Amino acid sequence: MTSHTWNLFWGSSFVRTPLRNGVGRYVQQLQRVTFKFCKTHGGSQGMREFIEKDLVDFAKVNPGVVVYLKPRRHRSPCLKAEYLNGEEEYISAHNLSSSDIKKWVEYLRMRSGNPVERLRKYQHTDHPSIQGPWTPWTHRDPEINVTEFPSEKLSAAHVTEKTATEQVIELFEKQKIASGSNTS
Amino acid sequence: MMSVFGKTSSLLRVLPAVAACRNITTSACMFGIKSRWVAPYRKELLKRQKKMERMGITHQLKRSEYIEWNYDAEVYAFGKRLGEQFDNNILREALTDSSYISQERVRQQELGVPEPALTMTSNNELATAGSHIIADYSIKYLRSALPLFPEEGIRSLVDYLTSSEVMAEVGLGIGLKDLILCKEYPPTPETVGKCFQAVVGALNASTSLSQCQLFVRDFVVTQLIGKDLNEIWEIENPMEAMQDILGRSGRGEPEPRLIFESGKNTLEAVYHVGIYSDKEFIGSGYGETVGTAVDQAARDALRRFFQTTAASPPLPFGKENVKLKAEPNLSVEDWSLEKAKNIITC
Repeated sequence: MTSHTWNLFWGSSFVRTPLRNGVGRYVQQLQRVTFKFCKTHGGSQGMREFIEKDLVDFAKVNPGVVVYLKPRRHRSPCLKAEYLNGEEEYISAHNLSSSDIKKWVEYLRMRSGNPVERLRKYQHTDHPSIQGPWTPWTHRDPEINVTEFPSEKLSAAHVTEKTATEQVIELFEKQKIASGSNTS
Repeated sequence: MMSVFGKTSSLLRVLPAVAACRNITTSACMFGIKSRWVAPYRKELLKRQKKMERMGITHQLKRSEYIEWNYDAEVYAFGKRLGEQFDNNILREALTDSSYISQERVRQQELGVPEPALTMTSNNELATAGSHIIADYSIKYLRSALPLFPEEGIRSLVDYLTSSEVMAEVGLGIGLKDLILCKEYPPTPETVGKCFQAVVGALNASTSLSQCQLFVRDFVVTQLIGKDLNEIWEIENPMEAMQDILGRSGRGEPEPRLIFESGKNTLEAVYHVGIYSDKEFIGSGYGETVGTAVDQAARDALRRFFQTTAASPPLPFGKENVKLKAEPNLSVEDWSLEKAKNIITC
């Protein structure tokens, strides 16, 4: 699939958080996870190992996540995660080892549930400026209000660097001061 | 019938892709994509969806109709997720809508039970209690956080926070959609909002009022973040209001002066107007005509008086302690610069 086709289906978005999460308190967005597996098939071996060794710890550490086990005879194992915003995510766990599944569960646990999209920027604000919108007079000197146009001062070329003449005059002044202090 | 239903449930899984419908054909052409499958695929999905709608079988499965559903575990996890200690029975009562009880009664009567013995109680009382707590806390919090904002403004902010849209948004955000026991599915925004108020009431009944107030602050009052307070409470005639305030404060009449103008008699005319009182600058605004610029300048001056400019500090959340303020703020009719001087702002 080309990146263009990806954008046509999945689109793009800005960084966002559901329900101002984290301002007052943090609410884990994963609300339930279902482990679907077969009790006999080899493809589910890693999943069965995970359930035996790590699942109880996971459920203890995350009391806010409802864990369901769904044995299905001779079908490929998968993880189904459901989030508070109503989104779901399936991860195929076919032939995955128990440590792989652990990592995938960790991935599901930490997600916000917003769809995986191309992020237009890695930072976002609804209010880009607290100074208000730009106008042609932002940071302008109000003096130009009472200036008579055409004005010689404002029409003059805008010079930022010292000219050669000015530099020579400056050197000359310095020399004069130095020689003056020597004689006295 | 079973076979038809079986087919539709498999169709339902692919259909959410249709909901975000973009015109693939034209946009693909725009981007120069020669994909031969995207548009036909989307068209086929749309055709199937329309067929299902014609047949009237677009049934949305409730989450509780799945095999893997344990209501006890869900209710337990709901409290844990929010970091609160709910009393299980009170929380269950909060999640029961009155429409569910009447539906159950009718169902039992249809099954031949003459006098249905339902021990459930609906969340009506808890919702009333919860809505009082939400309104009471948010008004006291906002008075304290925005001490110079007039009482009318505070009240309209509270009306916004307690509106059914905001209540429903918060309720859906904490995952009430699957947990509510009600007749319709998906639950209407009113039902979700009422259920959220009942959850607040249940928290008050289960723990303490202070704990419940923290909950309201974290979930309800935070909805004001990113909102312009002056848009929620709009003053109809800002110039008159400002004239009154200056008159009460013993200051001179407000005097709008043109600070800048550009593009006069063109489509892109801009005027920048400042408002002065006793030769002292009190606010400025700009617009495409002088009238709008004066109006904007008056609004800006009021924002400066009430300290709700874009640059003013954000509302205090998190660990910062807020002293709740029971006595009302100054009303717009009484607001004056002299009285505002006596108010301590933090």
